[in-house]
Amino acid sequence: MKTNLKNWYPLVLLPIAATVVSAFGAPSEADINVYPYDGAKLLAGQRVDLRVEASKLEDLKNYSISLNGKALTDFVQTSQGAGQAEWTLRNISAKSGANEVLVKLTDAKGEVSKRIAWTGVAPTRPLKPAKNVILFIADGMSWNTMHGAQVIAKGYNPSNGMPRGKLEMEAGADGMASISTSSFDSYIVDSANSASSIATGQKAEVNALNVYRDNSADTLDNPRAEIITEILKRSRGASVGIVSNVFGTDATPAAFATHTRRRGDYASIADQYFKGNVKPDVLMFGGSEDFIPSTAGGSRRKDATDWIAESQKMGYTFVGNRTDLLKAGAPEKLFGLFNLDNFPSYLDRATWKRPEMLGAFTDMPYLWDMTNTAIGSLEKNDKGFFLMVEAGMVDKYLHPLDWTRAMFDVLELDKTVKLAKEWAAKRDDTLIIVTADHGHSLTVFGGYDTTKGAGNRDAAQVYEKASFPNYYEKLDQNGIPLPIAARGLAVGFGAHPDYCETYSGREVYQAPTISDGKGGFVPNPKVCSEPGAFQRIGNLPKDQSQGVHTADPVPLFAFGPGAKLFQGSMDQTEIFFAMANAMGLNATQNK
Amino acid sequence: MQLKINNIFALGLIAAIIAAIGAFAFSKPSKPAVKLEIPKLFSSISERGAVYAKQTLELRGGQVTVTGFAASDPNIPDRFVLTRTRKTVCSPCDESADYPSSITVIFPNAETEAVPVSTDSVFVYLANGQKLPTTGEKIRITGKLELTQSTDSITRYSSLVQVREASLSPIQ
Repeated sequence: MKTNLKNWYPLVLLPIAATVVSAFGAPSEADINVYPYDGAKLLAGQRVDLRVEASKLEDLKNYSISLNGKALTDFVQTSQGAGQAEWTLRNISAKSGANEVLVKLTDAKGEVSKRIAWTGVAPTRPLKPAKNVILFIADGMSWNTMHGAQVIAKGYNPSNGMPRGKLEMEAGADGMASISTSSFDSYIVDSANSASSIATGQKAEVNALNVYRDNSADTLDNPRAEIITEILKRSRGASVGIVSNVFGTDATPAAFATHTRRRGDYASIADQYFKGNVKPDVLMFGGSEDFIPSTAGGSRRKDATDWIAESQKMGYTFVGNRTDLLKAGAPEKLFGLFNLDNFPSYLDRATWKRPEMLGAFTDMPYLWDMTNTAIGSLEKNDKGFFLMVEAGMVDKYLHPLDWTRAMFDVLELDKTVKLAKEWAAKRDDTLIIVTADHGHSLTVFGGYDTTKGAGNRDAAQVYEKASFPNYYEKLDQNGIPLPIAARGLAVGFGAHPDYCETYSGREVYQAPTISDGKGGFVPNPKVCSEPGAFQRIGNLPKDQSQGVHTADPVPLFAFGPGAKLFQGSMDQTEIFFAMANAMGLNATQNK
Repeated sequence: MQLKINNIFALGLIAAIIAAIGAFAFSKPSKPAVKLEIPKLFSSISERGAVYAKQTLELRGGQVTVTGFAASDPNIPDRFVLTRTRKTVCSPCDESADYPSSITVIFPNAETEAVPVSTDSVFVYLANGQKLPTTGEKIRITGKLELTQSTDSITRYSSLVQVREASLSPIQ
């Protein structure tokens, strides 16, 4: 076919004409920000709040905001100050394919416009969709931490150097990926916005839960992104469970049911569990401090709300200790609070049992107890379920460089994954995912000859002298190794404050640093006075008291239907879309 | 009725005597401070909260002696936290860093930050002239017992048990 040159004239001239008009009309100097941000990838039908913010305005005359060429109305217009205006429209959604938001403003100085693009991901219809998803998150577990836990659990055959086995979280995986993380406002994440990436597919700011940035001081009014659990409830009436061993309003559990710009909005997070869109059917964790009335000793609420009492009126069965949990059966709605604050680590609960570490809480469930009961409750819903289980103390102890406690908490999680895999093996409709939300700078570099005492630099042996760690030879009552071995691990951290190294764990926790009173931190003198301890000069800024999250990629292993969607290197937000695809989730539908 | 001057004198004298007796009584050394132990401050601590022990309640307003480990910030020289086990202090703490509150005394960064209310510590306000102990130091404090769930205005540390006008003695 021959192209007629005349047909091209209008196409070429139109943009030129548009440019000329805007060049000759005096432009407004206003800045415009739009959320969801330019380049956002959304599930088609996933609900989001559209927010347009304009600043440096001079006497706003008029505005128009359109989505895919259609003018949007019913915005709530506000102003945070002189020259500012904001428009918020809640619960809109993107269509499959390319989406465009066009904002046009006219003020005293003239016109300005902003165009941003979103991609809407169409729902898929897998041949074998996952009816249920069990998502395990080991908070802060890098590849290195996971592998260190594997060496503790399995070890090697000393006669030929072959590994004696894999962790349950690795063994027989149908899919596997290396996950990279980043924030909207930085390339390092915290546990709030990293879990939000998994839960909504969006990048968020550090400390934010399932919301976009906005310019208002109120942390609870930010534009929201719909959480996978909200979509599952709305579109198919699935059940939702949240299980963790940290305080219940902490970032990772909160990311699967709540929205706030500040992860520290604990009372609101507690309220959102019972008043929000998700209203999880199963909630089990520590941190009763945010669920009991302010009159109760140790409550951190400021009001009389008593969620233990209120939840029971809503039909939840309440349990407060392991004994009652194991007797609870499988109620359809279950609320468990097992500590005022975080659980102590696995080693504290199972092995060392020091009163200094346990305090008044001596009847706490293991992660597998909670998960087992949660599955029993959730599986009653024939529309399926989504269960998030967090091993949250892994991170809590990697921060203060206590790798022993952290790695054994990985092993508590691993036994829990085994249980879930065994349950799922009896059916073929459950996707199991094990991943982490971010890493820490831990590395395993050798063996430690514990017969030479703690803190002995010459006992940390490398290459052939590292030999084979043999923790696996002595097991506890749960089949998990005891934290004692003639041949231990030599472990170090790449990013740390000044602290004293001993290579050894201790039954009563010691922090690596103490405050110097001038905004900095110095090595904990108590640790430095232990036999053999020697000081390591830190490489973090002096105002850091402990280890920090890293940019390092983290592992992901997947089992069951849809597991193959997880492969290669993936951005953390892709976990959300892969889970949705595995389930054949159609966010454009309502149940 | 009109009071005679004599009567007024008599009344005044009686009042003066009562005042003197009162002053004498109050000037007598108060009862010796009673020893309190941090693990026994509460009769129960459960998921439903902490309940003050009977002995703790009986000693409210009285002089007590408590032994523990100091957690202090030298920039705040008139108050500190006395903990059951040796803990680290972050002052101020960074909200996104996930400090384990069970092992760290947290003086929050922002007024809005909510930190757990401690059930294994005593918040100590020092008497004038008392020297702030350093973090990790094992010490004995003596002072007036107060029982309120309160958040200290400067450190923003939340406690259920406070000791005011406290004096210190080191423990070897």
